[in-house]
Amino acid sequence: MVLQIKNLTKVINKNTVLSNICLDFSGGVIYGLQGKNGSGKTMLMRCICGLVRPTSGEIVINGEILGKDISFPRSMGALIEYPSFLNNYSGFKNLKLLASIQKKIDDSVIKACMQDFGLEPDSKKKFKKYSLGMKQKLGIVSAIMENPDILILDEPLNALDEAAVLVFKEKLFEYKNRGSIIIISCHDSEEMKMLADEIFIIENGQIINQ
Amino acid sequence: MKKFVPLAVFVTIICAHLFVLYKNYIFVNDIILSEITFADFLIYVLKGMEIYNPNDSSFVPDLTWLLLYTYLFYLVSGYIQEDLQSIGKQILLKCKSRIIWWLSKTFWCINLVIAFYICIVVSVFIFSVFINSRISFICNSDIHMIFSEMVFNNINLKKLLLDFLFIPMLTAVCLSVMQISVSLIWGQIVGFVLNVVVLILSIFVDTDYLIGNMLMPLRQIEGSLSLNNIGFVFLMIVLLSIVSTVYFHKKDIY
Repeated sequence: MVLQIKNLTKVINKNTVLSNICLDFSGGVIYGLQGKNGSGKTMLMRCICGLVRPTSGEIVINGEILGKDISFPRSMGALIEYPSFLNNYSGFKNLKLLASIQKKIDDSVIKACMQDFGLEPDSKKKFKKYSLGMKQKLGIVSAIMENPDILILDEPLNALDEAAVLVFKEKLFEYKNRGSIIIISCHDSEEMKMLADEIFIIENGQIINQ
Repeated sequence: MKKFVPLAVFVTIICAHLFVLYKNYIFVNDIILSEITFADFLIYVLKGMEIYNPNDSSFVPDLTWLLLYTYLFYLVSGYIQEDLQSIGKQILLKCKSRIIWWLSKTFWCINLVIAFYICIVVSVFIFSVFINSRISFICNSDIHMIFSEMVFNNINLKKLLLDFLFIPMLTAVCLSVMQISVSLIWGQIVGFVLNVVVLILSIFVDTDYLIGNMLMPLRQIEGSLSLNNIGFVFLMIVLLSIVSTVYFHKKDIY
């Protein structure tokens, strides 16, 4: 699994939000993106996900150019900013809806994943009644439940309790050992150092340190 | 489902209004009118208005028609943006195709319009049952001449289904697709306002190319809607879908 970012630049309304980013990612490594608010971490993640098209440069995944050969990475799980689901559905129902698109997993996998993170699959509680931590857990589950080759997680530890953080770390290392490319962003530099094998520091849309 | 409750209430009020006028007319004038039917109520709700004549100072726009379709476009407005802020973005990433995702929104418009008309028909049906009126597709010209100033010779079931339901539904789908396409580029307010402007212009300008006219069965009833008109609407739906799909393919999603 190889992901290459080549001279990626993104300009929005004459503001350069990403500038000449060149990065290579390979499977079996956890990469960290670190930077202040507004440095460009989330924008870079959006570009990798295919949600945002670069102004110049390209993103190549296993030889396929994003935005030309493929619209989105073929096997990807993502949690970008806040987790968003249907408010009047339960957590399980939301995940089942998402899983029904690619049909890679069945109900038992969804339930097992939810239970790993302390979410009750049989609960009828609607998403709009979830606490912030529960919403975050559901977002993480939706990203990882289909065993993606690329995992993009923007501030995944936000609002998680201790038990969930432990489970999350376990899952992360599990995916790393499977050869997935994992890219996470995290405000807490200590946590980042514990999780990531390589850390990129991003400032004003540029990679300034590795 | 909750969004259709105001529509059901509004349609029921319109039906009740006609029923009160009908009963009152019989009582005051001491005459016998045809027995009002389900079809009469349905026509009254959906009819639209006659062609505008600038020399006719008595012309009054049909507010029922205007409010009905303004509400439909209100239901359409904001959907795309709300969906992308909700689970829609995740669905987009999972289905891995911007084209398929956007075309699913066109199908959403179709489903919404169908549900809109089903709500109207069911509301009229329930009201008709409630007041024990005849559940029939027979339309009484005397009733519509008096209360709608509408003159027609014969509305059979086929004309009712075609002029009052199918053609307006198709037109409403076209306008909904146009609205989501415009919303995609210029925002939901512009999309909504544009459609309302089309409605208002259609009241005063009678041309088949202002397709709001095709939402007014009263304007079609004495004439026959040509295949060109229907073809034009289909063509617009296809063209709008293609243009908006191409635009969405390149759009940044935040």
